[in-house]
Amino acid sequence: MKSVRVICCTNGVFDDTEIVCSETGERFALVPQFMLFSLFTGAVTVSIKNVFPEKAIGLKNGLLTAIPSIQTLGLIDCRRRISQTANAILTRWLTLMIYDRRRDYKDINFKEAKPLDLAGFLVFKEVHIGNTYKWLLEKLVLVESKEGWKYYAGTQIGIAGATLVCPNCRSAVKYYHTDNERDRKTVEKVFKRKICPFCNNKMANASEYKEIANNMTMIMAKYKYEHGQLMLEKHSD
Amino acid sequence: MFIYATFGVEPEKQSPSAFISFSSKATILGYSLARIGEIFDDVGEMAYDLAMRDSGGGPFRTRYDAPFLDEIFSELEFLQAALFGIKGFYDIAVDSPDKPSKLFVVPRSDTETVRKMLLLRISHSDSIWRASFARLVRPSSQQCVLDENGAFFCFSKEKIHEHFDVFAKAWSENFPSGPVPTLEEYSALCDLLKWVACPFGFTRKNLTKAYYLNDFPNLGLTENRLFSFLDCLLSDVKSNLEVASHRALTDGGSIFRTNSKLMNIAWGFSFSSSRGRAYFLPVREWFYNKIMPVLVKVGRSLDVCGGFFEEETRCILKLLSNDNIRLDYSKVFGLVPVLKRSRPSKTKFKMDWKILAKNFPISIKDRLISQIVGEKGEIDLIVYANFSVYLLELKSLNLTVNRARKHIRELAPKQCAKYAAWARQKDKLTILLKKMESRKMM
Repeated sequence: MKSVRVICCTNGVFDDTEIVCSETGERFALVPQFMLFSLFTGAVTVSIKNVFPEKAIGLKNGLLTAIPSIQTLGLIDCRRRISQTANAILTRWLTLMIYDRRRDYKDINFKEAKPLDLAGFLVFKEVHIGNTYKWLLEKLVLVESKEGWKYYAGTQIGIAGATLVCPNCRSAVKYYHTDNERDRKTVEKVFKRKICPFCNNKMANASEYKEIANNMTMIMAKYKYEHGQLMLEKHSD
Repeated sequence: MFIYATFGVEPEKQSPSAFISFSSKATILGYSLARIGEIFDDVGEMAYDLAMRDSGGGPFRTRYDAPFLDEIFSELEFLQAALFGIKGFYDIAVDSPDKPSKLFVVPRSDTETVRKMLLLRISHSDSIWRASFARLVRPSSQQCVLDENGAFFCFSKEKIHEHFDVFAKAWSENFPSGPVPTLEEYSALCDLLKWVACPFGFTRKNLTKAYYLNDFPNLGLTENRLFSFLDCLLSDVKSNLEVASHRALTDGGSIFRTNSKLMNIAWGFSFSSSRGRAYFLPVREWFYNKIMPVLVKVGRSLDVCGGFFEEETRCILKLLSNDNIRLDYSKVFGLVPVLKRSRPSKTKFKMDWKILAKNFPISIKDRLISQIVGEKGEIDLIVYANFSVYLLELKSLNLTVNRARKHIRELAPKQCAKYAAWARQKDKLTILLKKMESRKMM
């Protein structure tokens, strides 16, 4: 079990995003029902490019009518600043949602949750592929079958990886790289051996099967988007 | 009748993406009607003529044509934008306060304002979720209500039958000038008016023009009694003009509440004339929406909101574990799981959620903590999802504003602190989890 979370769930949207116990000082996330279910799926994607209410733009015609002397009417572009503040609020909110309450509350460190430059896009993901925390999966996970080919994941889904293709049994397996040295070496070994786990034939690099590699990229991106992964990370891929 | 032209008489049957625009179009219609009622003295006579026609409304529509409606739309847009300004979402900077030639709108980016902006977005997403959820799974035996703060709750329709005195009191408070129905009349009105729509209007002389309205004798209603209810439910637009006044629209109230008032006109309305009243019902389900404030009062008086919210949360959890329902990602805020039935995907993902316990009794050993938060308590819901255990405090918002604030800001944090203190008692949680594991719940 990863963590024990305590959340106050409401059946609508209240004025606050968090509540604080006046006696203990402990803070908890106040979460609308639909958002809680989103959290359960492990994939909370927050697009916050345009937080400023678009309806405020409707001022234009009225102002020009009401104040005829106006020659220049402008909207100061504060989107980046608003976006940063919104990121900070959301990060703090999400941190409170997923905080492991088995830990002493004073351990919580909101400095880690400072505004990140995410270009207005946060991806908060928590699903582990293959129901395990191990990077290299003990059993390959079939992600999709397409046009007679089977597309498997060999590791947890990371940022960048490579695909091995077995033309004999028409299987393609994607392995992602990781910073963890031990896992990285294990993945390197797999690439060195290039033995198909299904038919024991020699596997080929994806560069020889570009269409399969492209399909794999799209399938994994879709899977990643739908089911997520573990941590708050920069949405760069 | 652009509501009718866009959605037909059953807007709830449109796709979720099409239905999103219903609220804004209904708001515009409500405002337009109020302004038309304010500007034109003879609108009642015109409306009566239109309602007496067999069908259509060509001449009526050509008189108040596009430029006029464009102006009204701009006006509403301006007032709503001004409301955002009053709410503090932006400041205005000018080069001269007396006769400005340069004017800049400066969005505010302080934390509290941005939080409010985010909550607006989240509210929007919440309403989409609600619409989608209700469409899919709401049992017809439940009465679902959206209160004036935008929070949603349900209760069994039986409750109204069991406590009709409470319902009658709420009705008389909401419609003080009209008659109060008996239980039999209320049941008849529900059955009859659910289906009745008439976008181009009807009068008492041609009530057959309104679909199904003519069935009233079969349900035990008399014509006089029926129209006495219609008169109070479909109030004269001219009596609602204050709703669309500039003062009312910019009084600093909730944007949701302001729009709800305008939408309420659009659901169904009437115009008085020297020859009688003309009634207009652009869409079905108007009766249910008109009496929603009554249902909210009933729910609050019977204090049923909390219990049904807990039941509903359990129901949704169970439902979402079903393979046939998948989550989609809304374009509106990005994090919204919009429920929809779809073809099973090849990358189908079964929600691995389990309700481990409900109303689970707990006791806090730590004397220091128990003195502060209490020794004993009950966790509303314990859920296992995504490798984590969630201890959930469920709080319904469908209370009066002050009560809701007290519950959320004072009672809920104390409960949550109690849950957290219990979670830190490792043995207790471990015992629960082992018990669940042995039952193969995890």
